Amino acid sequence: MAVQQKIKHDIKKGCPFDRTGVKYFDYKDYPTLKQYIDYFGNIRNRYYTGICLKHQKMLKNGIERARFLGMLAYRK
Amino acid sequence: MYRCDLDQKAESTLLAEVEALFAEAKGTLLFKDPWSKRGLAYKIEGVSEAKFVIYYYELPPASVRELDHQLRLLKGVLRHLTVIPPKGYEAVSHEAIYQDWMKNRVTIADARAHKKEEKLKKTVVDQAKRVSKRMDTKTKEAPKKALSSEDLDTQLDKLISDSDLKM
Repeated sequence: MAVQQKIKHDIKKGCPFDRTGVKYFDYKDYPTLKQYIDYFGNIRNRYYTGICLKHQKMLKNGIERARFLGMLAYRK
Repeated sequence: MYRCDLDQKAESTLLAEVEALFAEAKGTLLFKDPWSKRGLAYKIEGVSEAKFVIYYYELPPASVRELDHQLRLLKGVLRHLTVIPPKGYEAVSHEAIYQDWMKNRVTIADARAHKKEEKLKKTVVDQAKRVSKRMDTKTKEAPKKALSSEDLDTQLDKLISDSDLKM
C-alpha cells in the first residue's frame, strides 16, 4: 500500500502549456494570467502549478507587462 | 493608456497626436483596437479608471526609441508599452476575444451543471444499490415462517397415507 502511494505521489502531470503548444503569453489575456496569480498578487511558484521553466519565464513576462499597464495588481 | 475623464474633443486630439507621432516615425498601421473604459488594478497618477488603445504598427527599429520618448512626453497618456509581438501572433480585437470568452463561459457553466447532474445520478444509483443490498440481506436473515396447524395436518396425513411407508 505504501509503495503504491509513493508511486502515485511521484507521477508528474507535466506542463499544461507544453501539451497545448502555447508559444507566447499575451499580457492582455487576463483569464489565462489570472490562474497563475495568488490572492496577494504574487506569481505562483512553478513547483505548485507544474509549468515548465520556459513557460514560467514567458508567463512572468506577460504578468509583468500586465502589471505595468494596471491590468493586474502588483500587491493586494 | 490614457485618462478617461477627458472630453470627446480632447480625446480625439490626443489620439490624433499619437497617430501623428507614429506617422512621423514612418510607421504603417496594421490594426487598431480601442478598448472601452476599464478599471485599473491600482491608481496611476491619481486615476483609477482609464481607456486603452492598442496599435499594431510596422516601424523601422531605429525610430522606436525616439517614439518612446515622445509618447512619454505627451500629456494625457498615462502609460504606454511598446512590444515586439512574438512569431505567429494574430491581432484580434478585444471585443471578439470577449465575445468568445462569453460563449466559452456559458459552456463551462453547462459543463458544471452536467457534472452536478451526473453526480446526483450516481448518488441515486448508489442509494438504490445500497437499499437492494440491504433488502437481500434482510430476506436471507429472516427466519422461515412456521407452518400453520392446517398445513402441518395435511402434510402428516400425506405421510401417513403413503402406501410405501412401512410402519
